[in-house]
Amino acid sequence: MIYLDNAATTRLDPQAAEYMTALLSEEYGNPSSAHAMGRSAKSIVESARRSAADLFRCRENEIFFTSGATEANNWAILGSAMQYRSDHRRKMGHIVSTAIEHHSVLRALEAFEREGGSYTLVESDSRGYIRPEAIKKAMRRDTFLVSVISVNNEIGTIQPVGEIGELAHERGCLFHTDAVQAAGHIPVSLGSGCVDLFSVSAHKMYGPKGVGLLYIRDGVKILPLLYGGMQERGRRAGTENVISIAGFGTALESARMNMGDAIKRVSQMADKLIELLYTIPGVEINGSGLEANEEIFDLFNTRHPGIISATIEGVNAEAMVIALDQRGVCASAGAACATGVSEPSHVIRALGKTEEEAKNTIRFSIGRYNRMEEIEEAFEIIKECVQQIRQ
Amino acid sequence: MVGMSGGVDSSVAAWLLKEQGYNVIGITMHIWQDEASDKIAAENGCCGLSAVEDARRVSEIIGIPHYVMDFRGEFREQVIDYFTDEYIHGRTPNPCIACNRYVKWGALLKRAGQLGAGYIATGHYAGVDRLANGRYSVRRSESKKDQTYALYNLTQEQLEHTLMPLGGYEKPAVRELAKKAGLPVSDKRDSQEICFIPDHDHASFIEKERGKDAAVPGNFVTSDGKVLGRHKGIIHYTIGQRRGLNLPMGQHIYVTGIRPETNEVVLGYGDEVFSEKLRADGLNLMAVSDADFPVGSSRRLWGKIRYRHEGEWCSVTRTGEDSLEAVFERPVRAVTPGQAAVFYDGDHIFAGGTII
Repeated sequence: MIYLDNAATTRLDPQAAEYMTALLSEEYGNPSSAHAMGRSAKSIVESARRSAADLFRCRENEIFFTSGATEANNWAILGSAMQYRSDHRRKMGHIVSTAIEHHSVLRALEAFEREGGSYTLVESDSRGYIRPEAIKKAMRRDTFLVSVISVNNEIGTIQPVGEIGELAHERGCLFHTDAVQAAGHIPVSLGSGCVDLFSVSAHKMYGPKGVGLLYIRDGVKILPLLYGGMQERGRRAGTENVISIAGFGTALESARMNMGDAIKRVSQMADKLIELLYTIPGVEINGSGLEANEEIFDLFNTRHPGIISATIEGVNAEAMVIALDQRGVCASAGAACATGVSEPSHVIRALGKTEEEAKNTIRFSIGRYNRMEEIEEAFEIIKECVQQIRQ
Repeated sequence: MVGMSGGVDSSVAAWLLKEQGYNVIGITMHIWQDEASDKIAAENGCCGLSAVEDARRVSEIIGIPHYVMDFRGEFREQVIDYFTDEYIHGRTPNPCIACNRYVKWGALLKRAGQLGAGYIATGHYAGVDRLANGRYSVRRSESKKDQTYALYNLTQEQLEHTLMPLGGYEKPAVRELAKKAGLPVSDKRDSQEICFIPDHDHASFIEKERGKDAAVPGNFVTSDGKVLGRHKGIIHYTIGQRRGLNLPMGQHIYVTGIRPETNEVVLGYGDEVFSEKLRADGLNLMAVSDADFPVGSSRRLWGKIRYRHEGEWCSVTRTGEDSLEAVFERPVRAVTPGQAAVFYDGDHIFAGGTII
């Protein structure tokens, strides 16, 4: 099995697995308890929080563990919406976001609209980037939140979130970014203050599933989604998912220690695969070969090192995914929804591709546990599948 | 490659093929989605999320890989647009026939070829045979649920690559097999006739698709032109219909004709809804080659003019490259333009076409 679908989920860091296994039967304490078992569990959770603060260069009291990025995104959007309404005599206000967001943002925005709010989605430009001036144009007097994904999960373009964040602040809006594909993969510094809310999922960065976090900048007020106990400083009730948070902590730590090396290795493998893919006639790599555009980035670099989006002429990506699966290579066609159906990608269409080309677009996403030999082996299989489907 | 709807028939078809030693891949075709899709799923249609989940569970139990493929584009173009166009033009379409030829077989078979699968298989109650003359034809099932009518338009090439393992079974036996194999769908209800219109209200569906202008009120008339009243728009009517006319007539009165050019619906009494003759175009020869049934030749065959029609003996004459005429030995009720006329020679489909 060659796993080239790291943007969907990643393998659990072996150190995290080991740590979690060790804790699983021993550390059953409730972090809220006053006794030794409770204190021990509490210290595990707090240590993970420190790891998050270290990696994202923020304060520990700005990290709130959640059940994952879906909860974090919902909380950022609906929590800030409820806060706005409560502060503005029941007015609902307006949110600016983009057409290239994850479903956990888009569906939350739809729910917000059903309750009487309104929102505007900004389209990406023909290279897969959100232009800050387009965000500016979409903002209204009653806009209270701007939410822009950090790294597009289909073609890996890193959005100019720093600039957009500043722009939002100039207009007195909060700025949220869904950083699922960025966190743990590329350097992030929240210290500059241009981001108010920042969502992370553990399982996209070699942590366990079922845990994530929302960074809430010190002083930013959003209402909770979950009420109950006083966990997470009263802002996210529910007994902490101690073991998963522990594994998340290890993954965060490991990302901090190994990021430079991982970026280098992953980029080398991605460059190799891109080079090999270009030897197949009729292959186009989306979002690659872009010039680093300095006007765009301050907080981040230009492109996710491991995400490769390839449009292969005459090769339907759905068929390709199945053909690859039959030969032990895991990849995906666009962004998969719960049914396993892939939507002809909005993002790919925005690059000026036809619907046919969008349907012929497959994503390979490389992670730090891939090896160069696997890339070469996978390429031979890719070539075979392309031939079979084209004939 | 088995098309799996999550229902009992296609689940058992997949299981049977696996038992017979085939290397089976399960595919659920994602063909239609709108606000009503939850409702469709709840009513065991073939498009919803729960259908996908069921197919996935069944595949896991059988031990075959399962995938979902997106055919919404093909389905919209070949089935939904055709369906609405036909009604607007005063005909009564059969969407399953179009779906079979262009989506279930056309698009899926292409995908099967790309993946190196030699056959596509379905859970239809029908068989596929290679006849002595080398032609492939669909064989009627013993089952009461015979589904061959909707398969008349498949091409020779499509049939050559088709397996229908349920051909020799009755529905209760298939349910038994599902139970025996431990498939969690053995007691699922049968799907309804038109999967994308779960509430059976085709007129509202067409209005939703094409706007209110799709139904322009006009006159009910007799065959000699007498105006009897107002109708709600021709898309609401089909030949032979008696209910929903809302006319205070003494005798039973039926729709006997639809005139899209004048936006009139023709009504008549009982005997006027019967006819002896029909003409059809879009001819598809199945059990016989072009050369063996040349223009001008005739055959005595058993003809069906709609899915639920019992059938009647008739003399079928090929009147052109693409057309035929059938004269029935006893008059048949409600010959309906847009529906298929399918002719059987013994147990096999001989040919078929679209009634004009």
